[in-house]
Parts: sequence; structure tokens; C-alpha cells
Amino acid sequence: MADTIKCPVCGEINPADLEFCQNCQSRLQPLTGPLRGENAPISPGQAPTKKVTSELEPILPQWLRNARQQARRSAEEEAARAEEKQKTKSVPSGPDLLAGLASQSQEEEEDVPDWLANITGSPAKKKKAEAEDAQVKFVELGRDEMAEPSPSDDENAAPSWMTPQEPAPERDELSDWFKQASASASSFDASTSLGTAPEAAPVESVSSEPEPFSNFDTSNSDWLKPETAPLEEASGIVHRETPDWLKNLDTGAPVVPPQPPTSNEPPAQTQAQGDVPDWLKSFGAETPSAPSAEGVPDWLNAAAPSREEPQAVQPEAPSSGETSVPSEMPDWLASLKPASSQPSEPSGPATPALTPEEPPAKTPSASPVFTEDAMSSADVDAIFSSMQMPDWLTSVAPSAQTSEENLPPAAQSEEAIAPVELPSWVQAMRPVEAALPESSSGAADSELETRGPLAGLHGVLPSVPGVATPSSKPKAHSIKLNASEEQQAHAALLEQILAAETSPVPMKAGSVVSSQRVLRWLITVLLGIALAGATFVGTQIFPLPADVPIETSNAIAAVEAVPPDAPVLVVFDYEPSTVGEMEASGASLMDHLLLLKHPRLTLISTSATGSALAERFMSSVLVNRSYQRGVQYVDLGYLPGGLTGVYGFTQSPSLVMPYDVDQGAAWQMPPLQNVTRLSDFAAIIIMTDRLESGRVWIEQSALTRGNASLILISSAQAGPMFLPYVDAGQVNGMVAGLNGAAGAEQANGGQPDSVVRRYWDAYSLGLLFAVVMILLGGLWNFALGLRDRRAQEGS
Amino acid sequence: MSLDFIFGIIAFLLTLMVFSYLIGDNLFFRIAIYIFVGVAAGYVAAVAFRQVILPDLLTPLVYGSSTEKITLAVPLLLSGFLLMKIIPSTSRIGAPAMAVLAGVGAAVAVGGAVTGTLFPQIGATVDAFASPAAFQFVNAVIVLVGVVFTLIYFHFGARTASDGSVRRFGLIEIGAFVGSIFIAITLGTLFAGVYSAALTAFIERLHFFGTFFGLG
Amino acid sequence: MRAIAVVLAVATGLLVLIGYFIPTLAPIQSMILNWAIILSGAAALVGVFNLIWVHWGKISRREKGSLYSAILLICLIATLIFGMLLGPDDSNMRLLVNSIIVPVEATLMALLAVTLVYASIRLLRRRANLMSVVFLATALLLLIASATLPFGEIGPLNNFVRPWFQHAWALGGARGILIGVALGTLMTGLRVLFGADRPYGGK
Repeated sequence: MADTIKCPVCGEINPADLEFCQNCQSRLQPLTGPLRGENAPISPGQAPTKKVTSELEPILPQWLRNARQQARRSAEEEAARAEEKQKTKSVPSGPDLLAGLASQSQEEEEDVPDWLANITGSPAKKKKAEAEDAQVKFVELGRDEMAEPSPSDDENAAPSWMTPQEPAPERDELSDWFKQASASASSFDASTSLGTAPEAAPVESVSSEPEPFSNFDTSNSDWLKPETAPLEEASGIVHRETPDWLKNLDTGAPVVPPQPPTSNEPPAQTQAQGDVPDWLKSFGAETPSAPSAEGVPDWLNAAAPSREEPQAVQPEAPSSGETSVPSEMPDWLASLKPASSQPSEPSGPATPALTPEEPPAKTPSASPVFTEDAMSSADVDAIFSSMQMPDWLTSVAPSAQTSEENLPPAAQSEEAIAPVELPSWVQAMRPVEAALPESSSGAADSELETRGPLAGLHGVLPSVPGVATPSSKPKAHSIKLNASEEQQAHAALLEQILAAETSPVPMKAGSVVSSQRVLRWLITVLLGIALAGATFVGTQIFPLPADVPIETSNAIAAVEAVPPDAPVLVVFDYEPSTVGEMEASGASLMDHLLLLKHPRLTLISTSATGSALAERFMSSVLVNRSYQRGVQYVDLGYLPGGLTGVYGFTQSPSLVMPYDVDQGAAWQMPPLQNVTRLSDFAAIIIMTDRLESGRVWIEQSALTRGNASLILISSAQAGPMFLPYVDAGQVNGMVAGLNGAAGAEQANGGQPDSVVRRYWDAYSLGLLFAVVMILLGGLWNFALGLRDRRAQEGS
Repeated sequence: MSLDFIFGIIAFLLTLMVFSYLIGDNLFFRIAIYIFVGVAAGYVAAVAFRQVILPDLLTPLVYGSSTEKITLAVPLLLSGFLLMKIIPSTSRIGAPAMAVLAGVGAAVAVGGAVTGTLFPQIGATVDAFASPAAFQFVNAVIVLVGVVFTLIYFHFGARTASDGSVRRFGLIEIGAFVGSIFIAITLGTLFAGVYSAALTAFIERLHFFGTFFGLG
Repeated sequence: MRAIAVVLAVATGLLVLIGYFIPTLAPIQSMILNWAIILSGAAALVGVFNLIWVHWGKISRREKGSLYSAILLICLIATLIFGMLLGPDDSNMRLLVNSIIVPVEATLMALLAVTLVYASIRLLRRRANLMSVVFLATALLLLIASATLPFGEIGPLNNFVRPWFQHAWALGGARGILIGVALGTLMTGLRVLFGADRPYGGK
């Protein structure tokens, strides 16, 4: 180590043991030692560690705290969902069985409630607006981010904007910087946390505030050491790279323009570039051409020109010791000069948009963003105030300042900030044109958000906690506001947004009972009364239709063509939802068949509940025929595999379904005597309520059923789609719904106690009721829709 | 109190709980649905095990001939793979089993579609013109027009017009319009059928109430 | 694993498809079909186990609605145990189906009647175009033609209009839809058989 130390501000050579520069009284020794352990700064390439930022919680405004509380309430739940989601994501992306189970709700049914969507285990979609969420618009808008599930409590405590779950690659460095800064804000002591008791927090926060800057100190920051350490020894370069505006923060010394290049720069540069990433190499580079287009992200390349601006004035800059501001110096830099050298009046016309003369209407909690308090606190504050901190962060400033006043002078003096060296990309983010002090009220000076829900807004990302706090040396600030019209518009917009967020949104006073619900209730009551009346009274005043549909006639003919005592396969492929209709539809035809031909029945189903429904049919609808299982009929049970199972069964029935539901050898039983193939059955009766199921049987049995008749007993909802098969002769006959069953019942003699007959009055009433309601209601709604459309066109 | 009566009360209560949805989404409806899903899933699992896995796989593996055992080793292995899909970290192992299901299913579907629907339905559309009756001939024309224009409706080929808009060919556009009429008629017919089915289910439930209380 | 999956899908699929046309391959085809049937049964079990897994996770994490998950799991496991012990064919299990599954599903279907009437009433307000009008007119025509009146049938509607609509107009559209579905099935199936589509996660 050298015996002398060069002042980072004025360049004066001082003895190494001096704390302050002999020439300019700038601090030579850093205030803090190197950070270690958990608090150690992040070096390039190192993954950032998560820090507790929950200390910020108490200083948040009420609305944000409410929002965070709501978010936290569901944090565990959402974390679990996220974990579930990650698990799901880890599965190969193919639409396989479980993927469908896990994510089937992703793309469907807005109206499906969460509890119903969750029934399959798929994560429920977020509700659009819950009652409590609707109170504050921001909560709705920012809910996803704020309630973002996080694996650790640390992340839960941190504001979501500071802990993005999956930072985009180009945001890595920025987010790292944020995290590093937030870490420093919380790394001093547990008692320094802002989350501690309100009395203690302000006091401690003072000592924590300069920490982010000390992190950037060239002697303390590990991540900058590879570059800065050799540069220090190589003279001069480091001091040129240290932003002047930052040097002034600590010493209050006049701005020292950058020194011209010296002859020993190339070696220093070479040494520094040895193990430094490209973006850092450009940091210590002498010439503007240093940044590598290959190694530097786009956003950094885009920022490069602004960083070059100070270098452009280097040749003209005085070597040292001048207290006057160079003419080429940007306004914001000039404003950082000590009050003695600060021009007394602004150099440019003040922009009136956010001036005190025209204060925008805003709520008290929104106002601190643009107040003098936040601006006039300190250099650091002034610098970062250009980032347009939100209300809750600006509210930190007064309390911290108050606590600082309570500190003893010695403590205050220790708050001086050591000179730091900011990365070039941070410098590039600094406003170079506008006057810095006013930047706190110039929203347009801050970063423009280009992604996420804040896209298009300036400076809504707050600066790092602990940075935007007052230092002990307030400066005079220019009140110049150098904002363009567009920037002012953006600022006004931001103010409106903030004001809207902080003001309670009245709950929608929606009608207790909407007209739609009334209509639904009306339909329910009228339909219920009509059907219940006909059902409970047991009227039979509506005659069954005399005309038998042609497909039903064909079905009856096919049944009557079955030889006596012949084997008949009956497929029960309907769901319990249509059990009433299917039993009513099939009752007449099956009874007709059993009565006339006494066939040997073989029951099978491709539905898991089909076997139970088949037994129900046999034991209730056909109870009068006294068929016994294992004697007159055999139940093969459940045939799995859908169309594969059906095809396999049609190819070799005995191989695919060797046993009945009792695990007996089905093909040795009397009902299946002499039956080995599908074509050995005299008829195949398919009872189905779905097109898919019926189509599979029709298609797969086409080549193998031989002369066996194919008869469909269908639900009315699938009947029309089976008609082409009936028309083509692929199906010999069909009974579809209650209408078809009525025709079959007519052919069966019209028993007064048949299921169809008992249902028919209520059925006809229900149909007529629907016709009347749809006709009247439809015309009424058509007129209303016409009126609405005309009103829309008129407007 | 017999078991039938207890289950009858359960059925009655569950019916009421589901009907309560007409008032609005409520606790009882949700409980009924979750009970239903649980029972249905448990029943399906029991059926799958007792009627498929046990008789078709496990029993032959234990008591079957060596040929059977060798033959069934493959589905046993694939079933094991399939079970791995429960755990997300091992779900990839289930891909071969799913591949067998998908491959076999695709082959069967292709064969069935060609032999069971495409050829017979196209043939029937043409054969309808063989009828000498005039009314049947008119019907055959209507059906042919309906088939052709319905298929045209589902043709989504388009070209970019000079003004940059994407439009279908003119004739296709006209055909699609006619096809949409036929589709509307078909869907209207289906709608009437669905309503009939739902209405019958409503009546069946009311009959259940009547039976339960000794009415009607 | 992906390559194995693709090879298995293509090989088994082609063997089954060829079995349609070459009878000598029927034994192999039958064996593969039997495998697929057993796998389908295993898949049903996997689905149920996945349901258990998911809802158990909800309960253990005490998520919102975990009470419902507990109800579901209790019912599921109880049914599963009884089903395993007694067999799904047991009379008590059938009683369970008839008193729980059938009432709930049938009542859900019954709710559809109210919903359909309500939706039809609102249709023309939302979308009053030609297709909607034709759709609604057809539905009304067939509904009224399906009913009878206390004094008898509605003559031509029941005996002529309804059959004609169903067997000519609706049949044309239905056949077009069926042929379209078959063509779509053909294309999708061939893509799977040639490995172009891999719905089993082989991408």
C-alpha cells in the first residue's frame, strides 16, 4: 500500500493516515469498512441474495399497507399455487393426461367459480374483482405483482417491485443493484430496520441511509474492486470515472472537471479488463469507444451516449482547482455546486406545470412527491428525487430528517458520505439536461417504464430505500423545471393516478337482485309449477303423438325381426345425468323385445357407471320380465379404453372381456352360449346419450357385426346427429328421446302406467312453456337490443 | 330404519342441495358437488381396479401361464410408467405409456372414420338420388346442398385483398353463407333436443320427489 | 425417453392400422389392443390418484376451500375402500350410485332446462343476426312440433314439418358436420401416426 493517498476530489497527494484532504477537506478514508458476510456487496456474476425489506412496511401509506395485507393474506395460498404451477411447468409440455388435469382451467370458463375450478385440482384463476379488492383501484391493478407468491418470507416482505420473481435478463443488473441497495438499507442492524418501532426507526434510518453509497465506494465494493483497485494505483483514471456530482455530495467542494488522459492509462485499462465483464470494462475505459457492442446489453448501449457527454467536454475542462462551473457542464451538475457558486437564478425558463402557483388537486398523501421537503433535503435526495419516488417513500424523508436533527453533532458528522463510484449505467440514468433539484417534481425526468402495468409512466419505480433521505448538508436548489409538454402531461397523469389510488373508490351500489336473476327465478318458478302440477296430480290429458317417427318404426321392426331366444348385445353408454330420459326412451322398446322374443341379453358399458345403470334398468324398468343375471342375461361390466376398447371388443369379444362383473367366465354362461364373435349376436342395441359414444360403436362395428341389427336408443340431445347414420342404413332403427319413446309406446300398446305416459303431460307442458317464454322474451329482448344498438349508433 | 330409506333421504337432500343453485351459488350446492365428485371418483377407481386391473393384469400375472406373464409384462411396465405421472418430477417417464395409448387410439380412430363414416356417409348422400319419388329427390338435393355447403363453411382458406384485408374467395364466401344456414338449422334441432333431454331430467327429479313423498 | 415414446406411438399405431387390412397381423393387433385397454384402466386410476394428491395438498396447506377438499377426499376414500372390498357390483355400491351420483347428475341436467330457456330469451338481445334468427326459429318450431296439445296433435307440425326438418334440412347439416369430423379425425390421426403430432409429450 502506498504511503500517500490521492484525494478523489481535487487530486491532491495526502499522507495515507490523513482522514481529510489537506487541500479540499474531502474525506479520504471511507466511513465504513468492507462489508462482509451477509452484507457483503455483490460481485459481478454473483447471484444476489434475498434481503429482508419488510422494515419498509410501517412507513407505507395506508392504502398500500391495506393492499399488502390483502396480498399477504393470500400469500401462502398463492405461493402454493406458484409452487404447483412450477411443478406443472416442470412436466413436459405435451398435453398429456395429468397436464390436462392440472391446467385444464387455464383457458376456459370465466364464469366458473374458483371452488368449482379447483375441484380438479387445477389452480383457480384470480377473481376479477372481489368486493374488498374493489375498494382501491391500485389493488386491482397491482395485485398480481404485490401478491406474487414468493418462496421465502424475505421476498414476501419486500415490495413486489423490488423482488421480481423472474427478472428478465436485461433487468438483472438493475434488479441486482436494487437488491444490493435494499440490502444495505437493512443490513446494519436489526434495530435499524424500518419495520421496528416507529420511535426507533427514524434514528436508525439516518445511519443506514448513506449505506448504498458506501456500497459503491471503490474501496468497499467488491464488485467494483477488480476495476477500481488497479485503476487507483494507475493514477487518475478512477477519479475521472468517479462522477463529479457524487464527489460533491460528500465534501461540498467545487466541481472538478475530469482530467485529461494520462500516459499510464492503457496499462491500467488492460489490467482492469482482465477479469471484468464487458460492461464494466467500458466503465473504466478511457475513450467513448470502449463499450463493446457484443458484450453489452442493448439497454446499456442505448445508455452509452448520455454517459459520453461528460467525456466530450474533457479536453476543454480546466485541470483542477477551479470553482466555477464550466460552461459545458449540464445544468443538473451545476446545480450540485455549493451554494456559494450556485447561480442565483435559474438558467432556463421554469416550466409551470407543477409549480406552486398551479398545484394540481391531489390528496395529502399524494402531495409529498412534488413538495419542497422532498427536494431540499440533501444532495443524495436531490439526485435520486429525479426518479419520482412514490408517496410512501417520500414520506420517509421527513421522519428521517427529524430524527437526524435529534442526533448529536458527532453522529451527524459521521453521516458524511464517502465518495463513490457509480457504474456507468447508473450514470447514464442520471438526467443530463434538466436541472436536477427540480427533478423531483419533474416526473418526465425519471425512467420511462416500458413494460408491465406501469408501461408509459415516468418514474413510478421508487428509488432505493435509504437513498432518498436527507443528508446533513442541505444545498440550495434551483427551482427550474425543465420539462417538456409531454413530460408535464405524464407527470399530471401520474398525479391523477396517484390521487385516484389514494382516494377510496365508492363501492358499486349494484342492485341487490339483478334483472337477470329475477328473470331466471321467474323461469324457474313458472316451469317448476307447471311441471310439478302435471307430475304430482298425475294428469294424462295430453295425448301421445299418433304418428310414429320413421326411425322408430324401423327400430320396432328390427326388434321384431330378432329371432326368439337369440343373443342380443345391449350397450349401456349413458351417464347418470340422463338416466330418466334413457330409461323412459328404452323402456318401451326393450320391454317390447323381451316380451316378444325372450332374448338372451349381454350387457356391457364403456362408462364406469354404466354397469350400475344397467343393473338399475334391469331391476326397475324391466322388472316385470324377471330377468336373472347369469341366467337370462350376463353383465360384462366396464369396457375401458374408449374407441380402442370398443374396437378390441368388436374384433374378439371373448378375449377382451373374458369375465362378467362377478369375475365368472362369461362366455361359458347360458346367455352367451354359441357366441364367440360380434356377428353371432342377433342384434346390437346401443343406449347412448352422446354422439361420440354412439359413433364409436357404429364405426368400429361396421366391419365385424355382420348381419346383426344395430339399433340405437338415444337421448334427444344426440338423436339429430345419429339421423345421417339411420338414413345411410348403418343403423337399422332409432328411438330418440321421449318423442321416439312415445312412438314405441304406441307400438307397444300404450300402457297407461308406462314411463312415457307418466312423463308426457309434464313434458308437453314444459315444451309449450319454453316456446312461449322464448317467443315473448326473445321478442322483448330483440326490441331492447334494437334500442340499445340505435342508442349506441346515435351516440 | 332401512338402508334404502337412509339412502333415499340422502338422495332427496342432495337433489334439493343441487336445485338450490337456482337461487344462486351457495354452500349447500358446493357441498353436494364435492360429495358427488368424491363418490364418483372413488367409484371409478374401484371399477377400474376391480374390473380391469385385477382381472386383466394382476390375476393373469399371478395365476396365468408363462406366455401370459411375458405378454402382460409390457402393460405392467407401462402401467408403472403411467403411475409415475402422478409425481411431477417423474412424470416424463409416463410418456411411453401415453404414446402407446395415443398411437393405438389414432390408428383406431383413422380406421373407424374411414370405414364407418366417410365412405358410408358420402355414399349415402349420392345414393339418395336413386329414389324415383320427387319428394325424395328434393330431399336428396337439400341434403347434398347441406353437406357441401356445410363443409365449405369450415373451409378457412383466404387470400389477402388489395386493401390488405384478408378475405375468403367470393364463391367460398357465398357457399359458407349457405352452409351457415344449414348449420344454424342443425344446431337449432340439437338445441331442441338438449332442452328436451334436460326437461325430461327435470320431470324425472320431480317424479322422484313425488315418489318420496307419496305424491302422484 | 422422447424418442422411445415416438417410436412406440408410431409402431403400435401402424401395427394396429395395418391389422385392419392384413388379417395375419390380427394376433399382434389384438395383443396391442389388450395392452392399450389395460393402460386405459391404469390411466383412470392415475387420474383418481392425481385428484387425491391435489386435494391432499390443498388440505395440508390449509388453502382456501380446503374444507371442500376434505369432504371430497373423505367421500372418495370411503367409496374407494368399500368399492375395493365389496366390489362395484355389490348391491350396496349400486345403492350408493343410485342415491348420490344419479341424483346429483340428474339434477344438474335438470338445471340446464332453466338455463337454456334463459339463454334463448337473451340471445336476440346479444346477437340479432340471421344465423341467430334461423337457429331460434328452428328450435321453436321443433319444440312446438314435439309437443301435443290437450285436444290433440298440432297436425302438420307434428306429422310433416318436424320430420321434414329433421330428415332433410338438419340431416344435411349434420352429415356435413359428421364428414368434417371424420376428415379432421383422419388428419389428426395420421399426423400422430407419422409422428408429426405428439400429444403424449414427445416434443
